[in-house]
Amino acid sequence: MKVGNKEIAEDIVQDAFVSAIKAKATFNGESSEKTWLVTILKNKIIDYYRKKDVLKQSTQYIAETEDDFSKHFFEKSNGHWLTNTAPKFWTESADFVLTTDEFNKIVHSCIQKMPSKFIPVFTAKFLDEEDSETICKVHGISSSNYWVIIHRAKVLIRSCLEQNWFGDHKSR
Amino acid sequence: MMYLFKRTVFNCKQATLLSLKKEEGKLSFIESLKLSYHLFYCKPCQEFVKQSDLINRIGKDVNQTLFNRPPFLLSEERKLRMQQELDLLSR
Repeated sequence: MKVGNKEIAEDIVQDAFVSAIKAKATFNGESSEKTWLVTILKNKIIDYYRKKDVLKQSTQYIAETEDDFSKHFFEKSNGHWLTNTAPKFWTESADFVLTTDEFNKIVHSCIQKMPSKFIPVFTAKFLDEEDSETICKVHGISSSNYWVIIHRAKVLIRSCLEQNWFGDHKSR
Repeated sequence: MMYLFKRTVFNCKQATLLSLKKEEGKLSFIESLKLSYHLFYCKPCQEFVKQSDLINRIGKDVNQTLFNRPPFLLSEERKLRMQQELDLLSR
């Protein structure tokens, strides 16, 4: 869900296992083995993004793509929602079962459709519930860029989920 | 002044950004006034706030589901490569 490619994901898992075995002496049993392994894995994923320099020149990227993003959702003159992409009422309530594989697949594909710069930042908040200071520090971005990325990512995933799940596709 | 006020308060793009800052408790007093005022009048943004909250909960659920899922098994080839890497280390 985070790196969008099975081969790369397996490489990272392999790397994480090897690191874990190397570092097994430092495992102090305060958390479960699984939690410990997941932490190592998360750090490996961050390393992967860093190595690829996914978030380089994000300020410039944000400025260049501003118009392209905005014109799909907001009126240029006053920032109002455009009629056809404004949030619609979602009929299904929050309490029904959203943990089906079908729904997970849609969430996954909505994340993968985002610009690649948004994915590390958005998934850190959305899946791992990291706080903004940590995310900014880890990925070396300013807090204003953080907010722009989170905002655009949220607008995009909201719209994607509405189109593919919460909209009227079921009654059609 | 009034013009500027209207431009920022009645701007859904701004308001939705503020609503996300609010989720993380990062709003100033003025910003939170602006946001409440905007939300009072703006139906689509009210929906946005509700849906954003739901999406946050979905994130938590998805994360939990992935964590609890039985692990994928790595291929034999992968295991071999890992073993080789470890052999190199222990030498």
